[in-house]
Amino acid sequence: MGSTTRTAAAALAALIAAGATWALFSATGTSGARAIKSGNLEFSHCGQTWAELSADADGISAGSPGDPADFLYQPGDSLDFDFCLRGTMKGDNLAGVLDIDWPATESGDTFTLYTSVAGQADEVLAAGTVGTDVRITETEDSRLAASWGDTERDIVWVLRIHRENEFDPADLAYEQTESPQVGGFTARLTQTRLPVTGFTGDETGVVAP
Amino acid sequence: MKKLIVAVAALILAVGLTSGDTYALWSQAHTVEPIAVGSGLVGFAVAGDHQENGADTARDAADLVFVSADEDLHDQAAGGSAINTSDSYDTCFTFQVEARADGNVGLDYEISLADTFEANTDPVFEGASIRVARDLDGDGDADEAWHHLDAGHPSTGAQSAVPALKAAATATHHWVACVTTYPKQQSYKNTAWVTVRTESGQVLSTSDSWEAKFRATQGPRLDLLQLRHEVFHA
Repeated sequence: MGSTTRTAAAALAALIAAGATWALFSATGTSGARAIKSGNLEFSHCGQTWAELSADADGISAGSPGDPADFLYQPGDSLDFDFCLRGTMKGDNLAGVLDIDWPATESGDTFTLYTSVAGQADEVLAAGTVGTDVRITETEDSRLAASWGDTERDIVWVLRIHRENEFDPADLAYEQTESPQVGGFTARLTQTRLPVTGFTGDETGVVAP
Repeated sequence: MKKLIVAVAALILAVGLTSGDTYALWSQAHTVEPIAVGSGLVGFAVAGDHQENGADTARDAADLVFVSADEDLHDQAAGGSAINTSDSYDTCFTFQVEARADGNVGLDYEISLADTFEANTDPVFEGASIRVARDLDGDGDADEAWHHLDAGHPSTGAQSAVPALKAAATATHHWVACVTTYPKQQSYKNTAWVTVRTESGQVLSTSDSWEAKFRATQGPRLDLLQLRHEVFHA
């Protein structure tokens, strides 16, 4: 029997190599259609707010500071911009990783990434200088772990970018200059999975050629 | 048979993995564009009735601006077309300070005698003193106390503040300045003497003279006042 199998396998390999077809014995039965529930992964930018922290900010209420383009920024002003990021994940084995990439320009701004869960204190996940790439895994944020079954996870993060500088008269503008810019980044939520035998890709699913 | 199928599946999988295919996991990304913030300006300039070259504008925080005397003011301060030897003259004029300090910054400025004015040797302005006062309604009359500027008190001693302007706008402060001059006599006298001896031997002598008074002409630019400004963060 073993010899027969080896012979058949050799013949099969030869046929495949030759580009031929090979009919196996088969029997057909009909089974009722089974619906497979699909999991889900979505990621969105769920809005942004900003606040001016400088002293004597009269005329600009903290609740609705208006369009930042209308604010007349001067050296010495402090600003916070909060960017809401939302991930929706559903699936038995669905784990994820959050990446934040910055443009190459250096602003000197700082950032803080923290959780935003109703009724809970914010938890800082990462902080540093803008330009430092960020990767948040289930190690830093347990909401990204694959242990939620069919429960849909609504995960909200807030990325706060803070601008602050010392007042220096030499930095004052006596002629119209280009408006300063704050922020600018790419955030990505990616499914991850445990290593699979024979799977040579990284956690983003891309297999090295 | 099962082993055969497994072998075929493994073969197909191996072919797929080694051919550079991708194994797609779910992923979504969002790029958030940078947010533009409006930018505020600072500006400081002085202009006036007798400003020689129009407005004088600061280019940076360390730049002084000047109130200078044009030829017309020079003539007025000299007492008219010709100088008399006597009195002092009080010549008043107005000037405006235009300042802008957007956002959360405010601006102070101080008026003082121009450094070059204190040491000037102009026949009209040498030794002159200047007084300045705020003209709140811009009608050319002083509405606040005078600040007397002279060698002993070269500056106003009080700063005039422009509050932080939350909207892009320029604040204008009107000022009245009066310069008191003690012009030196500028004249030329020439006397001609004629002496004759009569036949009787008498010596007669007479003379005639003419005297010209003239005005001193405007020399190089003469700065009367200088304004220093300082911007502070509120």
